[in-house]
Amino acid sequence: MPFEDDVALQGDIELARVLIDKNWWTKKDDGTERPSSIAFLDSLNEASCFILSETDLELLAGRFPGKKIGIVTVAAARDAGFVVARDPDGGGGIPGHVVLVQRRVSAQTKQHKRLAGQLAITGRVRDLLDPAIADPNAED
Amino acid sequence: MTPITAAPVFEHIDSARAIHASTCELVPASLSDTAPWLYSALSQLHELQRGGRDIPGVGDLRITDSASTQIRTVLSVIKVGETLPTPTLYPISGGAVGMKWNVGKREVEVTTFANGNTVVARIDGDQIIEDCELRDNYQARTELSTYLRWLVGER
Repeated sequence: MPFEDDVALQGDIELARVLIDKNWWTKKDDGTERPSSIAFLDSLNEASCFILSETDLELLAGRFPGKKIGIVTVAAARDAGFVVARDPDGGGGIPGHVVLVQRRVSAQTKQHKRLAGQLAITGRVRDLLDPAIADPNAED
Repeated sequence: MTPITAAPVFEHIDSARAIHASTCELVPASLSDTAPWLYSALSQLHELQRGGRDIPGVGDLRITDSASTQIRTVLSVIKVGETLPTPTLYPISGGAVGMKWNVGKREVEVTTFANGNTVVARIDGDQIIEDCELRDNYQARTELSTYLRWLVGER
């Protein structure tokens, strides 16, 4: 069954992509990091992400020790032509799994890659177990 | 779109032999001296193919046969004698593979999708200067040659 855009997911809701390879992020001129276009490029047009507010970061960190995540918003994903579809079975038991599906242009084309790049440039990169993410309300 | 052909017209017979050998699970050691960038690229491709797996929550990192054939084809159209930096190869989820050369802020990036479609881009900093889809071996040779000359600062 084709993935359905979840219209209940809106605006500033953040999506985390596990950056499994060191080439999936890049350094900006100011020294900070952002995801690279390939992070959001999936040849099957089903880029796996997790809704940051719904997932379990400790589970993710246990599954992917030492990895970083690239974070983008739902709004940025939609601006870049992706729909955000829930896929609870695709996260390997980790909650909050969604897939980004490119609908504006054909998959596996230069346009697909460009739009993945447009999304990536809006993102930021953090360690999976960064305390600021694990508990944004934590006191210093 | 027709992907570039799986039976490439090799620019250079040595690269043809080397790349053919690499499909037979060995990368000729002689390449490490004559074309270190090619030796490195083929070795990295081997590693990616050996280590690729389907990872729930990330994607399928098993490189498809079409993608690996196409990346070898792209490598085969570059003259072995070219002085190039060592490229970096990396997995792209869904069975694709990427390869890039960096010189300072300049980058030439090759993306080979699971179905064999291949996109090459030249990038300066965060900016894509130019990109194109490779449709045949002639275009692969000419475009890639232009992009790589730009990368190393030749006109």
